Amino acid sequence: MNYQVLPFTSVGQVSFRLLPPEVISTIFRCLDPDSLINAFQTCTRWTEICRRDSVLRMGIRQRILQIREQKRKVLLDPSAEVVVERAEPTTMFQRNNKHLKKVSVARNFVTEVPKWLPKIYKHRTAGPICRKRDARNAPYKNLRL
Amino acid sequence: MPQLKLQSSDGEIFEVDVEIAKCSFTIKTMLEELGIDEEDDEVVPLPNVNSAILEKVIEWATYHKDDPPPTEDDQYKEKRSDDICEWDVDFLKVDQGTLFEIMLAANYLDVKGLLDTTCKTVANMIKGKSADEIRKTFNIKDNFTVSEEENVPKENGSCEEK
Repeated sequence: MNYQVLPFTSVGQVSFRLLPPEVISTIFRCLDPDSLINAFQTCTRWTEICRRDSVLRMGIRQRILQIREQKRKVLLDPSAEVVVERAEPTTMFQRNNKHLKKVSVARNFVTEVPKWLPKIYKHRTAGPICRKRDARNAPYKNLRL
Repeated sequence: MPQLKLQSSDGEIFEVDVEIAKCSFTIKTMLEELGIDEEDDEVVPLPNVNSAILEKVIEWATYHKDDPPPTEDDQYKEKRSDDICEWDVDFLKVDQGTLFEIMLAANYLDVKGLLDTTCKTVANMIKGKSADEIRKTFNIKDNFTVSEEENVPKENGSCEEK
């Protein structure tokens, strides 16, 4: 009897390309969410397979939302440490930026502005919560992840 | 015990116990639908499986013949990929081509256990690798077009940092 020999029965010729989508779905269902997201980005076929499988799609979506939530939490956390440029008290009135030091402080750290300072210096001395600065550089407010 | 003859794509004939052959859901259904007579000397043709792979599948089925059959609930359980038994790990220490051929055969013959085990093995190979490493491991061509490449990482760019 002669049977039609299908192309994938020859040893050594089989690769992922020839596996049917449902088998690849089964493989992906064994993966943890992070590996799944990497697999999702590997090639268009895998992306398509992940998109069509409801379980995989939900897994990926949940993980992405989880990561976004984590990022947002870090960005909006008032006690999170941020790096800001602050003037050293003794060199406050220098004109160039050399006296600015990079310091990491909590975001809700509010620099007290001495009352005797003229108004014009306020935005230079205040920390990141200072209103003028906030309006200009508060990237995390409109941040889209 | 009644024997069943299976013929691979390259014409080799394997004699196996019916109980072992029934691991394969495809063969089981066929036997139930058509019935089997011991006097009949009929051969079951398996045109999608070659002899080397069929031998492997029979070896696996012989070892796992006493396993409980998979239940319906198993499908909905969360899958883990680290619960492969030791014998299977040794059994699947083969090159990638053979592994994929076993998967294809298991899929065609509908051997649930073997398909699960091989899938877990491949899943373990994917685990913890970046997209580039996965492409290298499995020799996959990166066929994203430029616009798609822009879209996908934008959506998941944050995945790199945890």
